[in-house]
Amino acid sequence: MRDLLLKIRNSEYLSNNEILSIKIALLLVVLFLVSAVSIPFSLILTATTVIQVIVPVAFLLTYGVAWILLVSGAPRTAMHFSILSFFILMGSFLSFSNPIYIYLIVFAILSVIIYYQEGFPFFVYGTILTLFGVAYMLFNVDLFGGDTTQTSETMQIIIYQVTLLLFYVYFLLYFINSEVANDRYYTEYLSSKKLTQKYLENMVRLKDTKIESEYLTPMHERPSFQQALTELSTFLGEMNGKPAKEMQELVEFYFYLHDIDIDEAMHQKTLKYKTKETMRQLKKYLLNANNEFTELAYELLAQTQEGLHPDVKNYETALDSILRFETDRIIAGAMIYRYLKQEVTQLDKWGRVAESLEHGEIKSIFQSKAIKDYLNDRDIGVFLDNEELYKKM
Amino acid sequence: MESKINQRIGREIQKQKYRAHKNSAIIATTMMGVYSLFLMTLFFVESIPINEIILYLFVFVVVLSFNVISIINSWRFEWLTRLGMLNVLFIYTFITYLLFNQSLPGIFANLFIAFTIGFIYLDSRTATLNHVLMTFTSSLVLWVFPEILAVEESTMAQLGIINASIVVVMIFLYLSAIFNIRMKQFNYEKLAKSKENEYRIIQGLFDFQKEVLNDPINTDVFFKDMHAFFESFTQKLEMENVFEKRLQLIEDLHQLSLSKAKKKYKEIPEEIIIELQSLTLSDHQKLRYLAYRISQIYGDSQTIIDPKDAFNSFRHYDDSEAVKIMVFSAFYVYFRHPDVDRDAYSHQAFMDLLNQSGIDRLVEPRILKTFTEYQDVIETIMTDAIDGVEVPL
Repeated sequence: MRDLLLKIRNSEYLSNNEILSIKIALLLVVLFLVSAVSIPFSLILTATTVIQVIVPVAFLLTYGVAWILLVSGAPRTAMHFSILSFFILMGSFLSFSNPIYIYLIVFAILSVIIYYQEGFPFFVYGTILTLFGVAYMLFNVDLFGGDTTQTSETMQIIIYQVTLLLFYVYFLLYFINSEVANDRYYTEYLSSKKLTQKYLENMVRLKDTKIESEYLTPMHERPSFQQALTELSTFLGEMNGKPAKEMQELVEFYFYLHDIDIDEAMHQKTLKYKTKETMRQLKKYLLNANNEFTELAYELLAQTQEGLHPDVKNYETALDSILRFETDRIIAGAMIYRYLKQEVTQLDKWGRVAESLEHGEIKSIFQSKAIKDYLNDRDIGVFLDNEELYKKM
Repeated sequence: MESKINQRIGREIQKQKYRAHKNSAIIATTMMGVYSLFLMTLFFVESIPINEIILYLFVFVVVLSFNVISIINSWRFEWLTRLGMLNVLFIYTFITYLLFNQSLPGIFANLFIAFTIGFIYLDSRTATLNHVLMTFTSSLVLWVFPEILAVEESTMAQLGIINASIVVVMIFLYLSAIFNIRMKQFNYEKLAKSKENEYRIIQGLFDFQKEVLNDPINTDVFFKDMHAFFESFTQKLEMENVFEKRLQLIEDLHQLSLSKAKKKYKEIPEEIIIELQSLTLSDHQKLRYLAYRISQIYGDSQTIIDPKDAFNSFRHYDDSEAVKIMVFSAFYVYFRHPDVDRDAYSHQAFMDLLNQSGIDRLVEPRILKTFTEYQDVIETIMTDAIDGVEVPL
């Protein structure tokens, strides 16, 4: 429980799947408590066999499947089963026969779907439920104590229907808005991440160049590194309940992976699933490639770098938001061109950082969609109209 | 200096938050507009006196106008959030007023609509207000108008159970909203940090590239080319060379301090000089970063990173416990050794950088704790490995 509370408090550091798992676990616990109280009641109060037998069985089945899926690491499917079991549990309340409850149950189920904050399930289940709710009221006007000849009763049904519809449409808007915001965030974050990966690719290649030219030993081949990692992992493993042998084998395997082609090995049919799984997990942390380990290492090292001058106020990349005069933007455009033509920024055919860009290549950049993050159409036009002059630079 | 950098990061976070909040404000205003239309139709059908309808309409027009003005005039973030809270307060108050003062059938259900409007705002204060008000008003309706739920001889116990259910549902939805809001806030911070880091990582790359390739840009040659280019450029366009002076200033800014540049170029306003400073080829100014960034557009395969793999971590939920221990140990040992582009770090220096970078949150707390608890043992393992002493396991 303490663990769960701690996780909730630090929820922002968890992955989406972890958050979903916590949400499912919480819902399932409450479902258990509610069902423990309500099912016996509905069994006593109901005369119909359907509710007496089918509801508890179906509930236990879906509830059980939801837990199994959750613990076996399939939270997304578990979520659907938890919604289903909630749906069935609510079904047991149908015996109370009051239509207003059915109306409120629709809201309760919609709330559970909203609780998961997932757009697609809301769209699917929400549409079905809302249509059901509206239709139910339409065909059971009399159940609401209504008489179609009385305006107030009809009005009441209409208010109920419109409320349900607005509730659904508004939440649909909420999810669309949320998705749009997420998309925008991911696009920006991923483009920044992708660029960082490219810089690090150049960094890794430059390191290789230095290692080769100065006959240095790569990190993973240094005996002191190997010894320290073996001993440290074994020690920490033991402190966390892992047998020394398992940790030592893992470290050995980790070093071995530095010397083989993992992608090729993954396709070998003779390898056990468990080995492939460990390979997949370790691949992102190898020391001789541009991967997650490298990114984390340079993220850490970034703290020691100065980066942008402190007086630079923002991370804007569009020249028209950095410079207000066109004259300055033309100067900036020419400087960028000249820089690209001279500075070594590209890999050669041997994978070394050794080449700068040629005119044709720079032109293709200036004509690409990606350049719009930096130059506006006018700035690009100045380049294209005077291409020959730039080329002579 | 640090504070200026933090301000820059803060500004970026604020920019993202503002953009998201403005979208929410637009949607919420539209929702209120649609809802007001529904209400006015309802009043009309229910034959509510025309002077009252006009009054209600006036109130809505005022509220909606404020919202529209705030959006069009891009009010400050603080004011937009406050207005959001006022909107939520208004809508609940209005429905509660109708409940007590107008006999409109089923109007209590409109509380669900109020709830959706409040839910659209993605800030924690508005979310708290929305959930508190929904819990409060729905409980009020329950106890004051139990007949709405057609609980014929309603007992305290019955109403109590229904009220408890409302509270439970609200707690769940609140928890879910807070999860979502914190996740979004975390994402904004992550994005801003990743933008800051990106510039710092390029800085590291510049430094290392200079060391390995030993081919720094010759600014004299660079600017000679630039002057020649603009001469032919202006000749071609048959215009006066308006670029010359600015180019000279940019070139001078490589050597002169800002105050000296201001003295030398008295006729140029200070803000223009500051703006032009970003066009120097100095390591910490924008132009060089942008040019390097642009260079990476070439040959971009447009591969999109799977968002699932986008978040680096030492605690991926699908990695085994042993792998998590081993890879973080590898990270630690890596930094305790010197690499080709940096010196070795001490235990404390590494831990400080880990905290500063926020990577400490990407490590299983239990594993990280062992690092602090057994610092002495770890120190011995490291020293012995680096000194080449055999340590019995």
